[in-house]
Amino acid sequence: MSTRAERVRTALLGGRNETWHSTETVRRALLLGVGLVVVGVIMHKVELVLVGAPLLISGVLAVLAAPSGSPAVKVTPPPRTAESTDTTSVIVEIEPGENAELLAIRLPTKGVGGPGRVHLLPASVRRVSAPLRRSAWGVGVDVRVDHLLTGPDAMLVHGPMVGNDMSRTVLPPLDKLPVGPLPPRPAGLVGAHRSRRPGDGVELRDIRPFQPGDRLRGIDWRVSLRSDNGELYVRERHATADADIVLALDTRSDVVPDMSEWATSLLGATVRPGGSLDTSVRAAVSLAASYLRLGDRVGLVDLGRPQLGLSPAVGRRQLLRLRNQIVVCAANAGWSPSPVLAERQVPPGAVVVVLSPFLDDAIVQTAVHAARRGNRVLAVDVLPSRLISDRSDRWGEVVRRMLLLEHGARLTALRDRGVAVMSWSEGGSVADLLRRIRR
Amino acid sequence: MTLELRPGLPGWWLRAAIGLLGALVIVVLAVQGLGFSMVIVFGVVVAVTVALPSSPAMTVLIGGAAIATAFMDGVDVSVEAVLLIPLLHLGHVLSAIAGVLPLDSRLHLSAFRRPLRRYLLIQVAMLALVAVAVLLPAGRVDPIIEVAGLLAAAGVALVALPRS
Repeated sequence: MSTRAERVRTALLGGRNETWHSTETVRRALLLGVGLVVVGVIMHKVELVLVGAPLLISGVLAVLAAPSGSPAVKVTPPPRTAESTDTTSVIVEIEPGENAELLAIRLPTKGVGGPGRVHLLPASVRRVSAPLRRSAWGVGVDVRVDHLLTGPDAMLVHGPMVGNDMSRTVLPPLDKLPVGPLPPRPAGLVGAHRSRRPGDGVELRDIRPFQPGDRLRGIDWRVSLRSDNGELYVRERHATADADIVLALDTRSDVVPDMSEWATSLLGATVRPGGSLDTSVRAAVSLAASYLRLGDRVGLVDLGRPQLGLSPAVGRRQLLRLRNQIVVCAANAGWSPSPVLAERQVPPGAVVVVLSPFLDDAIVQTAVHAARRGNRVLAVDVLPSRLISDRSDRWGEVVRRMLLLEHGARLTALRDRGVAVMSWSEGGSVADLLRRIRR
Repeated sequence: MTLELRPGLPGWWLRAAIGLLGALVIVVLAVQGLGFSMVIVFGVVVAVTVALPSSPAMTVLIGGAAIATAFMDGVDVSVEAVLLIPLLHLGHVLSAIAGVLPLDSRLHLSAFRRPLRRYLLIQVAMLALVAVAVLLPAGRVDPIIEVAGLLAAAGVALVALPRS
């Protein structure tokens, strides 16, 4: 086979990185070493010989003990989904080949985001365990095991080889929230909320004379014995019912306190830490967890992308589904200019919690339309409490004031139209808000 | 056995060590009488070596320092020249390793055990060679011995050069 054909074949098979090849160092060691020794001998300069000899010796040793074989790296992938508090490890098994001396390998590193830093390890290491921890929620590439193996003094190398991206989804963290009394679902049967109709709940509704069809265990013997008319009385209780809650997430905008950063995109992340979308997501998952724990049905609506919503359901699986879906919503944030909250997305009698920074009129109209359809609507304002104006712009402070005035006017308009409003950044509680509007 | 990965040392320590070695080489050459202009030139070469350890800058530094020390001093084997031998060899080894690592890499000291052991063995051999060079009488060597020595060095190079 001709040299050209060999080069083409090597290029097609992946290039010289997949074979052991020499570096600049081996040329320095051998050519400079030999050159200095020869010139030193010819010119009777022993200093040249003494400087050149170590290079020559190290070069000869490296070539004599040249590494061989086909190194391989095997990665045991970590679980695809994790909690932000989870501490797991990625296990990497290395087959370095013969005479390999150093291993440069990219592994997850504490305090460094993404796939981590390149670590220089001895090639005698066959199995490495690297801790894997990411506090920021969302989808991200946490592992990519790039690697390179070298022979003695890094004169011959194999690689660098680029590893496969391994992404993980870190679910949004859950905070325990006190939950308030939700309006029960009209068709609900069992749950934690008091229904208006009589039933088998705990709360006393009325004490009335016994009627045919009443259960005997419902008779209040104390009241019956004290009565003068000799009639039996029964204790009537309220029925309990579950409730529907729909979390409407406004993913169209993600703003942070510093207004100069509103127009810039964040490299390598879809959600700004501490921004309005981050706050919305944390609030949404915490509310979902709290109400699902009570046995209520919780659903999700992405106001920016309606097709990403989830129908209301109960249970732990629904919480897991919701948290995964919210990560998907956040990853696709910012697609739609106007919010969508159709009637079919909200069951009758459901409480709608709209989580938004309320930066445009369209979201106000959406919330008001939902309230007019008969749903109880709670507006949770997630705009950062202390906005910092853009100092590079002389109109920055004016813009900030205008924006706050408009924002305040929108919240007032919501209140005027029967939508309960609370600010998340000011430490408001959904439970207090629910109790207030129930009175 | 599984190695639990620790954070390790910052990778720029390796570059800093190369820079320190380069500075020491320049100091030794300056003590030998290197001119200011050449000190500047060597300084630039050291800076390039630190920034790009896989470049030929270290080759230029070693070759330049060897030629400078050989032709500056009248003494056959000066103390400064003997000091340069381990410095330049260590610079060669460290720049070889730094050349395959990115700047933000992390270093684990256990990786340097084998290169350091080999370095020390070679330096012990070099010290013996220095002792021989110092003890041997200075003077003209028989041409036949010189030719034999040259042929031996060429033979070693032919054997050692990679076939590719």
